[in-house]
Amino acid sequence: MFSITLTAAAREALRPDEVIFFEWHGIGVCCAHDGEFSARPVRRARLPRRARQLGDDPAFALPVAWMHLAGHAVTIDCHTWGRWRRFTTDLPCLGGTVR
Amino acid sequence: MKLRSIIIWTAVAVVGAVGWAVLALSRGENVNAIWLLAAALGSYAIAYRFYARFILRRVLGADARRATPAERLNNGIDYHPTDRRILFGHHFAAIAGAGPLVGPVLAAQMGYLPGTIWIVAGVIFAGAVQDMVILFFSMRRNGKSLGQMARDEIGPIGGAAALVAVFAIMIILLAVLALVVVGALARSPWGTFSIAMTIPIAFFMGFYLRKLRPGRVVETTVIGVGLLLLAIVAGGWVQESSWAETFTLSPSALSLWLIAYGFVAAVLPVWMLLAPRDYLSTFMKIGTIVLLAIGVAITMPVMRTTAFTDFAFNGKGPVFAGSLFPFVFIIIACGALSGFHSLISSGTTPKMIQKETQVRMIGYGSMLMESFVAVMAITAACILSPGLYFAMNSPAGVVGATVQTAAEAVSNMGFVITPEQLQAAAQAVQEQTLIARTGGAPTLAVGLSQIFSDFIGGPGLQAFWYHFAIMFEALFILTTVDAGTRVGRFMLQDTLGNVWKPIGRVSWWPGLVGTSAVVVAAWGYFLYQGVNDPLGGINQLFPLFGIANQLLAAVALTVATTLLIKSGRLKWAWVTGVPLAWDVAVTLTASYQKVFSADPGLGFFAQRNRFQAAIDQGQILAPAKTPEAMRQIVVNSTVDGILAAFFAILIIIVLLDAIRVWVRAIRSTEPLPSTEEPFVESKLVEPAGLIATREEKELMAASATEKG
Repeated sequence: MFSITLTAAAREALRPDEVIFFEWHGIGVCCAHDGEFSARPVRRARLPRRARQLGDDPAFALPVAWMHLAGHAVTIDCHTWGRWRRFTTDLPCLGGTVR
Repeated sequence: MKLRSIIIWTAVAVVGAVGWAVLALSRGENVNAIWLLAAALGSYAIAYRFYARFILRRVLGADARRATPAERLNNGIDYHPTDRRILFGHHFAAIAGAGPLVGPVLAAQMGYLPGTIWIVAGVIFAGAVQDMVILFFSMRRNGKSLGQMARDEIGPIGGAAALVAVFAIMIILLAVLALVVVGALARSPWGTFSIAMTIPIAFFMGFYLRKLRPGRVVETTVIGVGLLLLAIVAGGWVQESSWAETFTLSPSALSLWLIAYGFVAAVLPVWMLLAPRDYLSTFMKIGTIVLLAIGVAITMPVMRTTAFTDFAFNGKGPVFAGSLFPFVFIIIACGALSGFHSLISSGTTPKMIQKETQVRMIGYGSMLMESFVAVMAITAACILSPGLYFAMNSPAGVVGATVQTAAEAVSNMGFVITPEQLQAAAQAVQEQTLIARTGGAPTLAVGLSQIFSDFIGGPGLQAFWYHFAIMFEALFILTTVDAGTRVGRFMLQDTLGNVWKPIGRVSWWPGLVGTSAVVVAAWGYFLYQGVNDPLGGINQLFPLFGIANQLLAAVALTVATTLLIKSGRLKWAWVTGVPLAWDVAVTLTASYQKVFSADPGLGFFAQRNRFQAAIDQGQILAPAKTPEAMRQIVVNSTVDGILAAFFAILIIIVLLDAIRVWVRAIRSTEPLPSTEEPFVESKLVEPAGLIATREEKELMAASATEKG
């Protein structure tokens, strides 16, 4: 159901106690609505209670993001500049309502 | 049907019928708004119980035994389809935007009856049907979006038209809504300060939610709402302080600030500013609407406008030009029929729904609620004296800038108001002036403040409630401005990404900044021209927005009709076919009049020709005061006219393309290939409606026992 792939850079940048956490941010446009994904590293201990793992990978999401992720093949990459890490995905810009 | 049901539903029908009878037969006397509520609520109840059930069972053939995408995509451990009550709230919050608040207020220039009839009848036979049918068909296709369904069922032209329509609506909508904010905040230090404060509040909420207390949405929102109320109170202090001048902005300055804000909000990460604003505005929206409904029920205000004004028939209204048909049906889109809703009904909600039978409650029921919001808005506008209403909603070119000129202009329209009454109305809400505060938001705020102060706090709190309402509307609208810019940017990135790959990458900064700038420039252009248009701006742009929105509704209803025909339900195609025919008639008539009318007050090109001829002769025509203003009108009219023609052409193309598919489907002896997901038996037992029936409770108990 989920196909989450972490590139070598992402695996290397992810600390041992961290996982990738997907969020879904609803955005209202008058009387329409869409949403946007974001992915970031979170310490496993700080994950929200309702977060669930996506397959066997170190990736988690809340149910509302889970639903929009289902069926997507997602590749997670990471760009680092010194200590600063930026995790990116190849997910579409929008969740898919306004398309 | 049991005797008890027959008695209950007969009583409901009688309540609705009496409400309508009072509204229809009262002439020359003020009608209590409670009759309007009775008419609307009685009609909604009957429609939900009978018509929506007929569509669900006979037309769509919703099958409780069939698993929905939410259940099929459920991995059995981690995810459960969303509870119907939560999904109802989610869907309603998503569809209830600023549209149902602004449109009815503007349409009140024709009296309370035309708008009310369209809001109630339109939602029952068109808007709620569209939302429910699209939700059903999208659910049967794993939650495909409207654009995808249009591409699959009609062809690439239909799909492209849907995409173009969405983008065009987005641009016009953003300009119109930003114009409403400018109308509400211009020269109002209280309102401007309160709204400016929502930006740091949203930043604080964003960081709180992301860094300090992740996942605590309700807690964060409670803090945010508290800070928001403080910002409203502080706005009153600022108005009395030396800072007042800093926050007193001209319409042009405000529009430039808004354009800059829209750009920054579109570029920043979504969690930082946009998502917290969305939580804030959703909670404020639901809270205020509930408060308003309670207020109307308790205070039972009297509507001071008449059932019909002369503007309904002569088409010379100062708020917007054009007669009752087709313009009431264009101006009131959200609340009756809104194409934008089909974007929610496809995409998000169908992926969350538990049972097919719940599409009635979620699709049809939510839209009835939205319509109720529109009824509240028209009520709030109609309890104002017509004199005040027209003084507020007529452009400065018509009513001038002083209470004396406004009182005289309004008297010439046939309504009575004195300069002293206009001054007193402004003082009651602690504003410098209420003259020419077009856009609908200030009118709604004055109406809301009267209702709220009648049951909480008395006249002493009217200024607070007015600014509360302004803040609520502006917050709501600004959330749309930043979200819309972002969505527009994504759509542009997606499209341009097909031509040049890097621009489609969300994380590529030059692409992100460039596309955001293009979208902001597009709606910023219409906003700026609207603000500086001597003819009023909103008067010109709101009909264009309505035409674009109804164009998208036509696309949605075409997709629905096509799916009914292709799936062998030809005899039921009228359910969406009749609203489609009506919508096309309305949209094309409005476009035709806006393009070809010889009346310069109505037709964009007639207006253009009149002002161009005057420029050629070296004359200056009112309301323009300078040659630059004359040229501005010529440019604005030309652009608006071209857009109106473009929308009309688009609708004709979609319709012709769909008719081709319908004819092929009807002539075909073999059933056309189905695009539905195959049948998978559902294991879930859940109620179809808000309250479980006795049979459903028994089934749920049996299922729970079986699971152990």
